[in-house]
Amino acid sequence: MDNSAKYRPWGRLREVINNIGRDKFFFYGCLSTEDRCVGALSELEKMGAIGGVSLVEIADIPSEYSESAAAKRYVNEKRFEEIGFGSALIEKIDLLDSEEKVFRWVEECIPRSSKVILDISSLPKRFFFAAVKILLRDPRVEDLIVVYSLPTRYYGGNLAERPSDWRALPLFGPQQYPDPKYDLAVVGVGFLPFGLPELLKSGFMEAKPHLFFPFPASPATYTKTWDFVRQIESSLSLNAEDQLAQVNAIDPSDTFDHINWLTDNGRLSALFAPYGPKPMSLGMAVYAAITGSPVFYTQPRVYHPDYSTGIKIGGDGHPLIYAYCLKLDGRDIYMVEKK
Amino acid sequence: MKTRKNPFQELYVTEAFINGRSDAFVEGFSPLIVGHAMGLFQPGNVILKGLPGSGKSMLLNLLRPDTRISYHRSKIDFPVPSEFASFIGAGINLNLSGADTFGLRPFDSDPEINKFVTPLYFGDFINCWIVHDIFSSVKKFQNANEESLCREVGININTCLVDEAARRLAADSCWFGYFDNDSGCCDDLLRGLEKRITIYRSFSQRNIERIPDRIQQSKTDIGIPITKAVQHLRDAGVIAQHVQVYVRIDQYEELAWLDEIRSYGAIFQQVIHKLLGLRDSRVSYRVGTRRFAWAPDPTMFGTAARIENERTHKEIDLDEILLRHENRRTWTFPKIATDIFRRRLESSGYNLKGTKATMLRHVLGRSLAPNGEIKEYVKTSNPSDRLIRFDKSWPEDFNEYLREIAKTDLLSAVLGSAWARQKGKSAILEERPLPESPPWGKKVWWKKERYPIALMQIASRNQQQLQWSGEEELLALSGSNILAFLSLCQHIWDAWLRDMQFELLPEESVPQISRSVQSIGVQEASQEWFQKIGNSEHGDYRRQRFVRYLGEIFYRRLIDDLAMSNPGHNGFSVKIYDLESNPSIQKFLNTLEDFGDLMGMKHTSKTKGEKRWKWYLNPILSPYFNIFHVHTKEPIYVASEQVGDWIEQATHSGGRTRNG
Repeated sequence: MDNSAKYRPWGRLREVINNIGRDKFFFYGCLSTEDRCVGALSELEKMGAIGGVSLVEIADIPSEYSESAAAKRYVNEKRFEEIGFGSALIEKIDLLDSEEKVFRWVEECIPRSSKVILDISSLPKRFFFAAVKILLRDPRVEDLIVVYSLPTRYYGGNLAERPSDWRALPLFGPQQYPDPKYDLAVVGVGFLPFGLPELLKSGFMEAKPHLFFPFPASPATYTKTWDFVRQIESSLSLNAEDQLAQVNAIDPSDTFDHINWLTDNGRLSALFAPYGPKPMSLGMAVYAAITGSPVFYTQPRVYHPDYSTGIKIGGDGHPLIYAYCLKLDGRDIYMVEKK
Repeated sequence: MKTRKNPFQELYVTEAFINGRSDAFVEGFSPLIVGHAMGLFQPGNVILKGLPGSGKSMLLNLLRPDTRISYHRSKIDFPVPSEFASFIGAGINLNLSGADTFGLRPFDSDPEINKFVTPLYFGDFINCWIVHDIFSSVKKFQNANEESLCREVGININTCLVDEAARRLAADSCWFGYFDNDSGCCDDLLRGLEKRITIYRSFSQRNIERIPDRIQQSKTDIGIPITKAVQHLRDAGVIAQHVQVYVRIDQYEELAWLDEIRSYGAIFQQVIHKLLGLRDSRVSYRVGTRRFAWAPDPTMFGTAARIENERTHKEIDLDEILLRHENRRTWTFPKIATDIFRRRLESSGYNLKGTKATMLRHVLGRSLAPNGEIKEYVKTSNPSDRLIRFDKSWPEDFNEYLREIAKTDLLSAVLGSAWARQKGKSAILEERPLPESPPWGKKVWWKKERYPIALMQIASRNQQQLQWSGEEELLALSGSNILAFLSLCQHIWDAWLRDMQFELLPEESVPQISRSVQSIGVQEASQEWFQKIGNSEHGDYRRQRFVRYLGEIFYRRLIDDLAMSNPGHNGFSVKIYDLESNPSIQKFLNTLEDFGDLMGMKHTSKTKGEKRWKWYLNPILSPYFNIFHVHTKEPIYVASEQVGDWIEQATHSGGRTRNG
């Protein structure tokens, strides 16, 4: 079966929620320094679609930004209260806290509802990849919607700092031994390739790199993403014709289909390096969770407190918040069907 | 060759993991480095220290069976002398293997028990992995169908003997009965180990609920199954008695990172130290690490005992070996770099025939002497006063004297302008008649020490960037680091390809790249290395900001020093005891040194008996800051408190000095 022909519901938050006809969801989100962190929650609350909430407040490692980051998180905590929720619903976890804490945060809320919304707008990859995998494979979760808010703008300087060495994201490490030979290394192109050349040279040389270039890109991000490609190219020879694909930056389904096509519906093995936009990373997370593929990343230890500002408003005057259905009525929307 | 290729496009040919790429390794590897690290190919544990890009991985890759087989098949002599070449290599990459995921999930719900058992499971995992790799290496040699190679290494090609060794190992008490019933041959042993490794990985990924009882009850002692494996291979006659087994431990230093998330990094490092502390002659370990990532006083797991250099292991410092010391003749890096350069061109299809000089010199030419270099900055024979820089108080006839000198030798005139400003030398301003030959002309060392600062000031006054080109300068900018050298070559070649894209030149002929094109490439490489401080693996913008801050301080001081009294102020120095009393600053500077942002070295103070440490920017960063790379005279003497202020200011000003 051709996976690309599958219908995977996604679109603007309001439309998706209205169309799937559910009422109350349990909402997982992140209390961060970004304005967008409570954007989706606010919209959903207005729609009366919230049945429970748990936000995780994530503090980076101590840095020169700690004070200003804490102040910004406080402002967002007030917004959270204004929406109608109390600070008791906020779980504090440090960015580099033990993975167990992250898992526990997700797992402990699962019994509270079979309908779940996960807002990945401000969730670091170390958290959101694990959350997607846990929620996808838990049969108690029957409806799983992931939401993402576009910011008005990103900070012009360094968005993140002090990356760790590259390592597998929690729950996405290699399992089989001996390690299979990886055919492909699928790289989401982002702003900063922290350590990516080292990853590609260090043990997965046999994996042919494929770069997913987010498209369309704004002029501001366009330069940064090409600079990312240039930095990769200074370490590895790339053939633009078959190693660089333009992928819809806000549609995880497009990313998923591209991966399916590249891997011949899972026949070829792939590893992932999600440096690109969150929806693209979501496509990778879903594919990797289904197929047990490893995902590697160089987790920054510090994010700039002005990482992004605002929530982008669409031509219709409503915020640009997208929703992606991963499970509906207990049915997986994304599948890899080997030929 | 269809299109002109950049032979340096791929930087990591010999550094990278080489499964499937071992032919490229054989072509690119320079055997000249081996002689300087012979300890790696002799029995005994070795800690191989070096900066990123110093060639640690390249050397350790020689231990891999694939490399050995590739050398044999390509009929190229294995670079290790035959008397040291009877070895098999195996190893573990702590990151890739998943060993670093231990502790991710508690093995026991009781935190005290968990704390106790986690390092034991970690050790067991390492044992399984390495034993599997040792047997796999032996099989790889046997399956390569290269009988003469097996003879050369000292491996018996009879596969029944490996089965026998595997049977004996499986029955060994070191496994506490794990293999009792199901190991009849080598493949059974390997399958059993694979299963055990996969169970550990699955547990970490939360795909199974618990570690099965069979494994819980057979946790092995770190290192013991490894030595037993080697012993059984010898006893069964698979490997000859003299054959050494060298085991690589890759990514050791990354364990320290684990401390940030689950407090096991230091404990896991102690487990690795225990391997070295076993001092069992049957197997030797090789650990590659950055200089400061290796603890000065490493302890072993489960004991207060320590491992010590020259007792439990030998430390080889690659940076120290490759670095230039006082005597240029003992500098090994140029020979290695020259060889790597030729190999890269050769493997890219360039025709190297008919060139008498080394390829490096043929392509880049020689660097210019100061008098030649100045002509590149100032073309006119009648330089303006702005370039010489007179003092308002000087008599006009002295200015005229310098102007005359400048017509034939601008460099001398600029040095004269500094001479007249120096304490005790300004008498020349009053001296009449002015001497026919200037007094500084005879001061060979005085001049030599000031050529770099004079050139820098002239270039700056003429609103030009300093230029770097030629073999000698390229080697100096590389700072004896192979990756830096390759990166410079890559950018120079790229600049040349852009420059020559419309020229008709036979595709395979080796180019001679002009000075100006080289200079563009050098600037690009320098900029990239500066960016990398912030955004590469382990990148840190705090380090980048500090480097920027230093670069701007050095630039300003050197440009403003009209008397050229301090031509060594492209570095700074701190008393060692002062530094030791400020551990946080010492740690920060060590980190910069460890990642190659700064180069640190001990030096003799101008105060007798005082011990100091000095730092310079990595030479490859010099072009970015437009500062010369030569180290001469005394650096800036500062207290550690001052360095602390710099760090503080750099952090809060984005690395910009007040003037910058």
